[in-house]
Amino acid sequence: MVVTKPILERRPAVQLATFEAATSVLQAILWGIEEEGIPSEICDLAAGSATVMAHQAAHMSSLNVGVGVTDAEVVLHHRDLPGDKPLFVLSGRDRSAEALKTLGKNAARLVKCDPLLFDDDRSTKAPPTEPSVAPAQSASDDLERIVGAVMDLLARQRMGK
Amino acid sequence: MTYVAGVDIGNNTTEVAVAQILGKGNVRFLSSSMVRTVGIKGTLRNVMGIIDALDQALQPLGLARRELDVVLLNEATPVIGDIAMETITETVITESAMIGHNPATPGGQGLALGRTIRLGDLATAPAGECAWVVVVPASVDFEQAARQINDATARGSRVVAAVVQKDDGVLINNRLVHPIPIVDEVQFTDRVPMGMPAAVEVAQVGRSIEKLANPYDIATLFELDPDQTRQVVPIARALMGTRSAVVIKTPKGDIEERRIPAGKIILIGHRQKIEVPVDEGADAIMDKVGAIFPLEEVQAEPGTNVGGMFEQVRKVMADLTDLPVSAVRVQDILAVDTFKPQQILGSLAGEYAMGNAVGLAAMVHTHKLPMQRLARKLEDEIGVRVAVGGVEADMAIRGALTTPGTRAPMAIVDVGGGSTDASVINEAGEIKSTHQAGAGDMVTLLINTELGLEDFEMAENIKKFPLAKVESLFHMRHENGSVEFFHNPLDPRLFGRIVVLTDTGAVPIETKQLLDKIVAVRQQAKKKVFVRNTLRALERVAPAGNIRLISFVVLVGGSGLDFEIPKMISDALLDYGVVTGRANVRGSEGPRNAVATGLVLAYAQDLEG
Repeated sequence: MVVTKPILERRPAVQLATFEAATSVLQAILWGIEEEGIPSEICDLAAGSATVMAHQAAHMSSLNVGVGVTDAEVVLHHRDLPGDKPLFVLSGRDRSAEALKTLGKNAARLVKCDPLLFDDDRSTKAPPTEPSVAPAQSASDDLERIVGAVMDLLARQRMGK
Repeated sequence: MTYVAGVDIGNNTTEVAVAQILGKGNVRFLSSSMVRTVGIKGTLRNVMGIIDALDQALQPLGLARRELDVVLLNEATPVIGDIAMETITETVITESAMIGHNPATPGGQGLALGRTIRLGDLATAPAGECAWVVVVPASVDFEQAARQINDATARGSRVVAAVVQKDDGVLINNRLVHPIPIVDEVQFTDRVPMGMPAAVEVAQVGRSIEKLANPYDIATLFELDPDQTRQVVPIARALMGTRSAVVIKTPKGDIEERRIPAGKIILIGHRQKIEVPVDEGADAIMDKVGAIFPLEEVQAEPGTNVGGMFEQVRKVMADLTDLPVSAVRVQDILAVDTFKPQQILGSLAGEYAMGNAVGLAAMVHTHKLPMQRLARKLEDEIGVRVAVGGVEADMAIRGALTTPGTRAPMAIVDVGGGSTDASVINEAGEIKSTHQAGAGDMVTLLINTELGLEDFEMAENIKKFPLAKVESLFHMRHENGSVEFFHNPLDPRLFGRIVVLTDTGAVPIETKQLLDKIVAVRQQAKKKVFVRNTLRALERVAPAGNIRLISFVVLVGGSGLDFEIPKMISDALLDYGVVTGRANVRGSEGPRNAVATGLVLAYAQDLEG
């Protein structure tokens, strides 16, 4: 599923730098970028912290936006930012599929100069709870939370080994 | 040789001027200060603010409060304003019949007509003639949805469009063998009726939909008769300008634009009495207000929305002045036409339609604010004699006349929070003043309503400060087009957003509106209220009602410091050949401190010998 392309081929794309990251994590980020209609590329980098990798990726990307993905962290970075000051860092239990997709969307929005998404304003934007729909929605939210929790647990178990 | 302090307690600020009196009419001003008014103007709570302002003015002079001979208070304008919004029209959909909104990223493009069907039912749907508009709930992920649609297509079913609950439109479309228009982020997919004819339209990037925003195209698609076509007009209107839309024909699908009875306003003049229904709009009301002269009282039909608003104004004023509510009379109103985005009742994606509304500002004039009571209290607190000096409007014009380059006949305009005041002084030194309902608070209300902010503080900021668009992590473009760069990265929460540049920093505005639109709303609101009221007020005080007979108009008060009001008023008065500008009290204070300065000057003028 995940195809690695040579770094030299510089088409305009958001650059995802990974080091032995789970396919499911990468995929969720890519979906976020895709929904916003921006191209993306994946490259393998030698080990390093997710922040360092993200900043390197941002330098490689002709759109100046990079994402660093390791087992521990997912980091969104921009070329012009100081290396130690990334835009977003997702670690541990923040890494639900939905949060990863949002990070992907934000990477694309950074390119498009669209307002970024934040967890807290997504909750305030939630539609007014109307009795006819509320149960269905909270059920799907629950589902996502459960999926996220299970994925985290699996990730942590893998790290433990 | 004596020291005096003039104190002007306004709705928002308390201003002080300290001066040395060298003899009759001989004054040397020493210092000024300004603080926020504590409590409502005219109440005992003001004392705290006054003492603070006095200390600030005295401190650089090395004077103690005791060394003052007298503190002069203004006879504050006994005027209070209040504002309200009356909605006139409202769009109601009695059966779910349309979705029209602007998801950031819909999928595909084009127009398609089919029958609505649940994604789950697609597998068992008969292949062949019938075209389907598939409805995808949030519980299905996009890969699954795309696979099921592709499978159905492979079996020979015609899936022509989709309505999706999550923000997955592009993802689904990218995985389809045959791309279709997809509207996503539809909150209430469970309310979409199944088996009904539905049309889906998605415009290409940068365009808005064409067919579903046109009643005749809707009629063509759904084979509507002329009467039914008339009924879909509100749908077409609500869909105009959106990038994607869905229209579903339901058996009893019915959308109506309802007019809400807002009540009547009763204008009472010396000899006449005219009733105007609020829903006839602002122009009708203001025509009648202008026709009655002098306007003595404005009443409202009890038991209606506008009646409730009038009651509220009178109650606040009664509390403030210790008068019975029955003795408080509304003496002027300003009505302004406006739009109010309202959630359409029965909508599927939380859409808004612009309803017509009328904004009303009312003003109450009472006999006197209890300034004597305040003066006694202040006297007790600071141990210095406190006197209530002249009428505010007279003092303001005396202070404003210290502006270099002015002479009588001159008019001053003070656009405050609650009322717009104007006074004129003729060559003989006679002063005439007026107070008009509607000022800064009204502008805030209009901005808040028309932009659908539901945040008064934000509306107030938009009124007072210019805007900018944050275009990267390091630069923003101001509303006049100039670009500002920053050495440190900006807050990511500001990125890509429109911000108000307040004096405490940039604040992002939560809106999908474009910057130009916000600027237009702000400027329109200011024109509708400030410019209109300035002209109205000047006409009332000008000799023979002719503004041309005034040579100089100066703007005083906080509004004179606004970044665009002086230009707007100046533009409007250009036609009258009047010199217009913001005051520069004592050649140094700008539009501030006119009343405090006037109090001191009046005191020195009235000295014995």
